[in-house]
Amino acid sequence: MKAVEFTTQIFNNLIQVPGEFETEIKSVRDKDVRVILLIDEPGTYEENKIKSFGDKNLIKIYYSYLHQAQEERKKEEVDELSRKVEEEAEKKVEEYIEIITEAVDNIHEYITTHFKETEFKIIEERADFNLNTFEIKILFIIDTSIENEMKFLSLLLDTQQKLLNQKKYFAEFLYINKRNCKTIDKDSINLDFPFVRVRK
Amino acid sequence: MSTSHSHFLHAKHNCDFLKSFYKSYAYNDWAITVSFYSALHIVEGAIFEKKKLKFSGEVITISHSDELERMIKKGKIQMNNPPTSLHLLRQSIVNENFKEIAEALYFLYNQSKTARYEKYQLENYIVNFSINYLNTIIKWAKRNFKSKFPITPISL
Repeated sequence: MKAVEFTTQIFNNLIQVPGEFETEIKSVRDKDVRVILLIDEPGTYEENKIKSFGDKNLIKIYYSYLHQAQEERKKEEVDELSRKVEEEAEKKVEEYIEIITEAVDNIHEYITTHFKETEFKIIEERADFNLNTFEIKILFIIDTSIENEMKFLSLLLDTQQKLLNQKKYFAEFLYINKRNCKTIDKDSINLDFPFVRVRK
Repeated sequence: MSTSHSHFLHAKHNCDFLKSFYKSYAYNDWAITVSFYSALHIVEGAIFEKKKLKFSGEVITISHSDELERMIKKGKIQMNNPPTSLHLLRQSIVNENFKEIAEALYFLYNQSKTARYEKYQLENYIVNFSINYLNTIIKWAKRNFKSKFPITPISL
């Protein structure tokens, strides 16, 4: 196999052969030749280097160029994949925090709109966030009658079931009614539910 | 493998123990915990009896709530997070399938779970409420499982 190399332009779908190669081309007229087009892209190869190589090396550098292009594409794919994974993880964390906050806020809103503060007081709303397991653990400290406590229990059950059916999240809602307690162990509560919903 | 019969017998055993001490009101934390564990075995017996249940809108066939936990762990049922405990998973089954006793079970679960935050100093009326709720579950089981269910309500 013999190779000739020259720089040219493609015009009207025809390859222009420089005059200096005319004799060379005449010898293969009416015969099949293989054509490799190396299309210049800034920074992808050094033209002078290619020109200085012999026939076999030209093929080698062509394949090496292809290989390099493939590797770059693979790297881009990996970068794209890791970017997607990162974006999805970020989205899941945002969704997780939003779900907990929304659930607590909805319960708070329900209580404040349906009960007078003298009838039902939410003293504290606490949660624990676990970004490994995405567990949902929420604790309310309330002050109300046992009758209202039962209505609250029903509200918690509804919220729990909605989160399961609509968002596919398990959620544990607990409460302590201060009115039923002789004493409250704040240290244990702070340890198990370290985050407090702050309201202005 | 536990059957509904063995769960109901375990529940009866717990109820008999509860009857033996709760009226002294000296161990209110234990009275609530034993009430919850009696209810838990009644529910597990009911799951065994019913087998075909709904979970998050899907129909599943299980004999015990831990089978559902395994299905979730294996990814047969897609969830965004694992249940914090088997109790929570069981409660979800009850919410969807045994609605009549959902609040009663949740009350008992909440009281036994939060007892530690109250330094186990629980008021006597909470014990009475708990036994009332346990009785709700006992009566429900009696209606549904008739002669298979060996427990009678606890007198207050």
